[in-house]
Amino acid sequence: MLESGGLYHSFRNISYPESGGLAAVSFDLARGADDVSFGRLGAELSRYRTLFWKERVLAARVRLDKIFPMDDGFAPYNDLPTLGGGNRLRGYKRGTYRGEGALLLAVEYRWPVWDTWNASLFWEEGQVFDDFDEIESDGFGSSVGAGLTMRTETAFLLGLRLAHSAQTNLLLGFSLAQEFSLATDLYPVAGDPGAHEPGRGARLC
Amino acid sequence: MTLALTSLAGAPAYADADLSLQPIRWFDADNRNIPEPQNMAENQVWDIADHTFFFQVGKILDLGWMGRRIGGALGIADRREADNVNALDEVPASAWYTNRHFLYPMTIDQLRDGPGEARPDTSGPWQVVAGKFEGGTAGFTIKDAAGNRFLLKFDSEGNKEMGSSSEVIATKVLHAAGYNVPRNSILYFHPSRLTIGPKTTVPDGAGGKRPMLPRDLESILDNIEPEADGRLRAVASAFLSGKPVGVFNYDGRRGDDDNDRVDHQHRRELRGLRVIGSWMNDADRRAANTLDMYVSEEDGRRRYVKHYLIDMGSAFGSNNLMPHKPKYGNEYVWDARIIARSIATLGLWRRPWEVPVHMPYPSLGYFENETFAAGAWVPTYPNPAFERCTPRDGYWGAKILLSFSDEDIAALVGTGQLTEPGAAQHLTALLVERRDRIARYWFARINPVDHFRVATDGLHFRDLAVESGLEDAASTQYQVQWLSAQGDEVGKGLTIDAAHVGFGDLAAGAFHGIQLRTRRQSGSWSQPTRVWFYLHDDGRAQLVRVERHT
Repeated sequence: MLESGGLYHSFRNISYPESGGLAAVSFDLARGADDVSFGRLGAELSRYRTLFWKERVLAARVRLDKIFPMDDGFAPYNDLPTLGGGNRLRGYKRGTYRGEGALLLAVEYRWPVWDTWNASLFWEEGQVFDDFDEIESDGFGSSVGAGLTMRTETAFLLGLRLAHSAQTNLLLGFSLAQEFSLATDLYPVAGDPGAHEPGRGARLC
Repeated sequence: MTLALTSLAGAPAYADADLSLQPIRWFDADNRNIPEPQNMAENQVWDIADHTFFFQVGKILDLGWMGRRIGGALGIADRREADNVNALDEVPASAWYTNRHFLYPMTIDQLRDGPGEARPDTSGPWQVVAGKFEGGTAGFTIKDAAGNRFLLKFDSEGNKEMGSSSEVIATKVLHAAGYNVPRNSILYFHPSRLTIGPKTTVPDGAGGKRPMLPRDLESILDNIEPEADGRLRAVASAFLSGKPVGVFNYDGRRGDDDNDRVDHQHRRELRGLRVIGSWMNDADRRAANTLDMYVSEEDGRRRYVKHYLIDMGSAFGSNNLMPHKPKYGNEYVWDARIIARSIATLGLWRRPWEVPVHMPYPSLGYFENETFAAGAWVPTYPNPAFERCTPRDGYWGAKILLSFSDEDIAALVGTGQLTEPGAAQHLTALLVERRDRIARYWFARINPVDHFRVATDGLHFRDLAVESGLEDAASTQYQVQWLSAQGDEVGKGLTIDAAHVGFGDLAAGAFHGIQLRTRRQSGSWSQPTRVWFYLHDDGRAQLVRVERHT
């Protein structure tokens, strides 16, 4: 398996971005037994903007994952991109949707409620597909919800959220990692969150 | 149902049956001889968690507290007033409190001296007998040549004079206000004066102790920024006399002290301490910063528990090792009210203290009036006594503050020996402004007429707002209404513009009352304050009761 990728962000505070953007891309090549052979593209764009005043942040995120079978091979079911759960269409249970491609559009508004806690409201639209021409405007599944993220001085994060979708009236979820502020699916955040300076790219792979 | 409502409302705040010719109680005999109490162990973590979470939940589950809140909202229940006030609405002297500057004005020198200076004997070396490794500030205990022990505490690196000045100034303020405090003074000394005692130990890091070595002392001294001449600046805190028996809590009573008869949350001096704390931003005023001492008097024939406030290093702009955070004084460290409001308003509400104010004097830490709200001040953790502070308690605290003139405040600030040019003047100005704002807040809730005195020519009183210059005498009027012993209005009221009401031809051998309301300029009349007195047959008048209504 060969992995490569890159990430660039312009955040002053990587653990709580208030302005700036993030671009991340990854490409993995996988070959294995039984004709397993595929490439996987992951791309994400995020944009943050401060509303009203300090720490009230509107974030927008677009994420695309796509499998490209190679040499007449295929991608195993478990390696297909999914939507549902985690950080992708939070109103659906984990892995509800699966296909060779997944597109996620999300908007989130965050605001501080305590020293290191912030609340959020989010709205996500997502759909899976096998080919790009299958993407349809009425093919998106919607998810809305609210969350509470508790950070600590050491960047440990606990997230709680309640989300609604066509599948579930209210889905309670929690997480133990930074959500949404970075392309955490690709690049887990680690180390001193304040160590990153604006404008500095971080090549992680 | 009737019983329930009566219980909610409690006994009437005032009743004519309370009128009595008994001497006013100015002393609470809580210094009777008692057996030595147990040392009350202190667990700071539990204390913080208890008052931050469990105490708050407990209030909601407390039928009495909840009933009063609901009753208050419906207008059928008064808030429970403090238990330990006398007929004149003042606090009797006790093992907790001594009336000082408000009732018995102190001179500038007395204010500066406070409970006395802490000056180690300099005729010989000072032996370090213990290191101070707990609490917010580093330090150690010394024994001077005369055998007296002092705790020396130092400013943290980068915060020169901040903690030490706060500790000393706050000590003097609290003493003048009437509280028991240790003797704390600013001290400059050369480290060569220190020696290590033969029995001095330090923690060995494995739960045990080992002898203190020169390097242990050096490690403490290395963190202290010396003066240009090599001397060190410290707060010297004299050891209190008696035997320490733990902290006191701001609620409940000590079970092993028969003298402790008033629930602490219902003590006026502890409730009113909230107001004095708000003046000084004494944000760390919690059980951990108190000390009960088992003291001995009359050659040991009488031993009792005396209650002290200690550790004033988190006052004004100091949070001991670092400046106060802007939120301190404005919200609890973890404040469910603020969190709930922040969530509910989706971030549209901005806490006024979110954007720090520029601090021009590093030695003052973070202390400002821009975000200060007199009625909303809170310490860092919920304090059960502070939470029960009623307007009467608040007025009591405010009038004590107002007894400090501008000159008094400058003198008190001077005891902090701030050397940064302009810092002492700036702190004085902030305190003068804050004092006036606090007084205005509480005086808007209680008619600030006080210092009542009855003489053959009538009732004399002082208008604290006018006296302090907060209000103009020329635009102040007082509405006078005579009252019978039962509290019924007698005759027609009159309006006066001087702080004196003549008796006229009152019947001798009877109780009489005067109700006073105050109006400034063309505003509305204040809530009433009622004063009761007895006119003796020989013409003497005796003050028997003061009622302040809200």
